[in-house]
This record gives sequence, C-alpha cells and structure tokens, in this order.
Amino acid sequence: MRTKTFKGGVHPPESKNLSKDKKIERISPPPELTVPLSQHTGAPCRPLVKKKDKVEEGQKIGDHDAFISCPVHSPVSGEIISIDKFPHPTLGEAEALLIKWDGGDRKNWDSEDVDLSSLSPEDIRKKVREAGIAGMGGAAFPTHVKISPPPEKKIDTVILNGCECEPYLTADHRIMLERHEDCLFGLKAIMRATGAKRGYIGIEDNKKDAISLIRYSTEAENSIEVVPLRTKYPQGGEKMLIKAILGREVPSGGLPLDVGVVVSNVGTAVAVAEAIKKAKPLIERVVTVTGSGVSNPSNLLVPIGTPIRYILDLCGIRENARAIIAGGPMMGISQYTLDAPVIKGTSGILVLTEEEIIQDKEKPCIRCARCVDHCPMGLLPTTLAKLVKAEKWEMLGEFNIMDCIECGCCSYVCPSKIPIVQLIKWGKIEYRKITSRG
Amino acid sequence: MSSILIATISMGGLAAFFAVMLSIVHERFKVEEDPRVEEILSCLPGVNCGACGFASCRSLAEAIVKGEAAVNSCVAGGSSVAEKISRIMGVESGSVKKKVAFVRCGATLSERSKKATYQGVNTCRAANILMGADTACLYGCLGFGDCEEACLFDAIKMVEGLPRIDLSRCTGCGRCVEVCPRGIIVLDSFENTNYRVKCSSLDRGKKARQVCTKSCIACRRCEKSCPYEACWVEDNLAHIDPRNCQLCGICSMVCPTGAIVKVG
Repeated sequence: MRTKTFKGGVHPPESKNLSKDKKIERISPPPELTVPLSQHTGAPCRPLVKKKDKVEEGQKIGDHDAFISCPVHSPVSGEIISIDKFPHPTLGEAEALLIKWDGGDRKNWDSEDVDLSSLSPEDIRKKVREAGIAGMGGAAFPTHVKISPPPEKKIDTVILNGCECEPYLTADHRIMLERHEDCLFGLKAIMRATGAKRGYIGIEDNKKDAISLIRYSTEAENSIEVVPLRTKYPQGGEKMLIKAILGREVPSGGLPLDVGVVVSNVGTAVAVAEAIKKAKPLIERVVTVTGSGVSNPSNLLVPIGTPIRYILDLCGIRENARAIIAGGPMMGISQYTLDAPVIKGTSGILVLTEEEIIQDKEKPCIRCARCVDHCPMGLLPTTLAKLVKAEKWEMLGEFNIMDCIECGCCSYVCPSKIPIVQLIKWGKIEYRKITSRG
Repeated sequence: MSSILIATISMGGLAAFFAVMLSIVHERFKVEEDPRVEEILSCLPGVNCGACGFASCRSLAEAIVKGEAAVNSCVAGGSSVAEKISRIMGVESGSVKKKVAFVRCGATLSERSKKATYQGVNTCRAANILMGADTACLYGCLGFGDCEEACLFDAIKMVEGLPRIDLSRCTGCGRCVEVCPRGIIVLDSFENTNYRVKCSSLDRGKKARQVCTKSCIACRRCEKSCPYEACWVEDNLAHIDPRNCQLCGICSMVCPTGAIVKVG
C-alpha cells in the first residue's frame, strides 16, 4: 500500500492490540455524574438550571452567548444535586454540575432519514451548535465555529481524521469499523456546511480493516477518498495531516482555514451525524480504557460526566497500577484523582504500571539534535528548552515557540531525558504574558 | 647603534603624535555629563532590580537628574537612599513607605498534603501548569523556590518548602511577587497592624482541612471575637482591616488552625 506522511515524528510501540478487537459497549450511567461547564476551548458555560431542579436526558443545562463556546447537556435524567467546583481532567478543578441519575430508562433517540441537500449550511451549523459538539480528538474546539469559516476564506477540502496516532487508543478505530455510515454522513454534512467540494479520510496503515471497509463503502462516491497514511506519531495532528494528504503547509501562526481546509475527527463526524439524524446532543462518547494496569481493556460508550473511578471499577484495575492518564500516553494528562469525569475531549483512560514509568534523572543536553530531527513542526526544541531554562522569554518569539503543537516527540526521543515539551509549554505561557503586556 | 636610535626616535615620535591627537579629540568630542548622575549612581544599590520601573540603576539616576523621576523612586534603597539623593539634588525627599514581601501561605512541607508524585520541571511556574504538581492545595505555596531564585537581595530562603523572608534584607522590589504563579506573595507596608492571615485558600472549610493543617477554614471565630470589627471572612478566607485593628491579638489566639499570625 502506498502511504503518505510528513517529515519528522516518532514511532512509539503501538500497544493497540490490548483493545482494538473489543467492540464498543454502552455502559449504564453511574449513580452520580459531574458534568463540567467548561469542556471545550472558549468561554465556560453558565448554568441554565438550579440546585434541586429535575432534568431530562439531553436537556440543555449550560450555555454561553460567546461565539467560541458550546452548550452542555444532561447525559441522564435526574436531579441537580449541586453546582460547585469539582475535579476536572484538564483544568484541575472547575465549575461543574453534580447530577443524580434517577435510574429511569434511557431515552430512545430515534433516527430519521435526512436528506442533506434539503438542509442549508446555516441549518447544519445551528444543529451542531445546539448539540454542543466540540472536537472529540482532544482539543475540544467547538465544531460549529470550525465549520463557520469567515466569508473571505474559501474552504475546498474537508479531512476526516481517522489516524488515531496516539499509542494505546482504539476508540476512533472502533468507531470507523462500527459506525462507518455515520462517519460518512458526518463528513458529507461538514462538507455541505463549509461548501467544500472534496472530502478525504486519512487513516494510518495499522488499521487496514478500517481502510478497506471505508474504501468499500465510499466506492460510489466521487468526491470522497480514503487516504492510507504511514503509521507515525503525530500523524493525526491537523497540520501534519494536511501536509501529508494535500501537500499544503499551514502558515506559521495560521489555521487550516488559511489553506482552505477543515479537519475533523471521525468521532466528531459521528456526533454531527447523530445531531442531524436523531437531534441527539453530545452526551456520550467512546472512551478506550486500556493499559497494562487494566485487567479488562475495552472500548466503552460512556455518558459525559462519568467519573474515572466508576469506569475503572467496571474494567478492573491491577494492583501494580501507578499512573492514570486521561487521553493517550503522548499528549494525555496525568490525573491525581479518580473523581475527575470523562468530558467531551477524553478519548481514553490509560492506566500504566510501575515498570512502564521511566523515572530517569535529567542529564545535561549533549547537543545530539535528535529533537530537531523529530520535531514535526521543524522547530529547534533544544534551543527553546535552553532559552526557557535561562528565562529569556522575549527571545522565544524569534524561535517561533507559538508554532509548537506540544506533541512531545522531543521529550520522547531525548537521550538525556530533558523534559523539553514541558519546558516549552511553560515558555509559551510566559511568552504569551510578555506579548500581551506589549 | 644607529638602528637603536632610529627605533627610539620613531617610536617616541609616534607616541608623541598619538598623545597630541588623543588630547585634541578628548577636548573636541567631550560628552557633557552631569556629575550628579555618577554621584546618584554611587548612592543607589546597584543591583538593577527594576522595581523603580527603569531598566537599570544608571537609567534611574539619569532620569532623576533630568527630573523625570522622583528622588524617592528607588524602592529597594528606601528612605536612606532617598535622603542621600535629595541632598545631591537639593530638594526635599518626602517619605518613602517601606514595603516588604509577605507570604500568604503558612504550611510547611509536612503540614500540607500531597496528591500525587511529580516528576517534571522543578520550578513553581512549570508545576503550576500541571494542576499544581504534587501539592494538594490549589492556592498555597508549591515550594520549588522560584521566589528564592528571583530575589536579588538574598532575602528569601526556602525553609521546609516555604519561603522565609528576611525582613532586614527585603527591599520590597517585588520580583518575587512577579514570579510567584499562585500570587501568594504580596508587598505590605505593615502600617497600623502586623497581624496577618497567612493563607490564601478559597476552599470551603472541609476541603481546606483535608489538604492542609494550617489553612484558614472560614470558621468565622476571628470575625465573631474581634472587638473592633476588624476581621471578616469573605470567599472562605479571613481578612483583617488594618484601619480598625487595635493590635489586641485576639484573632490570632482564637484561630483554631493558627492561620492568623503576628509578623515581625
């Protein structure tokens, strides 16, 4: 198979065999769910309900007027117990609604046959916004914003991201195998909303079954093409994906919009399809529960707001488990509490054991430039790390620190175990501070 | 013999020529500098801390001579430096309110609980990005000592994971305030009162208690027992109004966690 790719990147052990053959199982909700009001990039929602209010499954419980924001919905029917600060998987602690499930039957979301050509782009955007869809690959950028390009930016291509380049995770793989019709419907809906003429589905070549299945089902489509990509991290980064498939380069500081492309995750496409066909808001998502610290790795369809503790109780956690990460091993965030809930951007829960965690001490940089060779953005991570250590914030701009996508390849390949990406993340925050000060 | 003579004469001639040239250039292209700049510079602390708002001590000295900065602009030097400079400039110095750094967290390493093991960049600012690293409290000191490193006057020492401020050395330049990612260091002139709440936690009592033994738990005992209405609790944290405080110290005595302390 001829595969496309980009320059740089790394190839960590895939470790996907643990869960890649496990069918997606829908779990019953936990007795209590914490639904954070901020699950997306942008303005956090304001609660629309009060303490002790009764809520229905799928009822909108939080929203904000800002353009870059997206509403949250109740994943179950029940009662609001409190609105307070609760643990959050990426923010540490944030405002959330504690909902008690009343144990009632779950709503049957009936599917309707919808003809996409009868919907205007504006209708699709409205439905996507009302469903509270945010990018499900991890960054959780509100999807309705992504598919509302400014009029001067012409979008010609939509790319569905089925790479799932993070090791261990298999949620997108299972989605493509089990929900490929919804994937395609979602892709067509996004193409209609943005006015794009071509659609691509980029899939890494370690998912051959998904490639052939989606190829088979798109045979009749002229405008949609499946592109096999080389298995390499971070192939699923949108800038890498655009470079690999179209050969276009997103300019420094720019967005995919600037080269006429919208990139969306396959999970998001399914959510878009459900929003249009079933009017179902984003209240559930597929989460891969995996790692050698889990006794029964699986792919679960989990209500948003389910605490990690409840999921790990279902799958079983081994005694030597040591670290729990929300997301994949490369970009996920270590959790300090099992009370943190699954949110819209949580693609996996990874449990690593004592033996898998490298605890090497940091040694001096030997200037081998491995980080430079592997940086997919073509930056100089070693220089950036050195400048951050010396706190030369004003010089970071010269080395384009803001172009870093925080993929972590530099830290992964560093033979001196220097926490390069961690230093760069810190540098970005300090650089933003001095530039906003002017 | 003659070769020595030639060398001596030619070298001597060159030396004399350059000496004359240099003296002419010195006279012709002389830069007029106010002698007071040098005088003021010798009074200033000379550490270029930047607290006055100028890039260096020299640029402050130049600004003072030009009249662009007040004679008491040097924060670090305090009133003694202001007095010297005012004598040079021949004006009244006015008073300089001396401020010193105060750390609004009183829990040492053993008194605050840990929530995880942290391996990463060992600075407070980097650790704070990752949900505060291993420190369970979301408001208190992280203990990596960014403030100690930032201090130019050697006034901060990390003792048991908490900055201890040497009040005799602290000049109030504010560099530690700027680097602390949790904003727990404030500049304080300790006017009227020196009773202070040594905690920044906005957590409710129960949670504050869980993560720290020294935290303010918003029990309102200080508020109830203060005879002068100087204490109040807002956002789960006690506050003291220096204007009303009469230094009786009752708040500090009744505080069950010892979060209210007398400074100095």
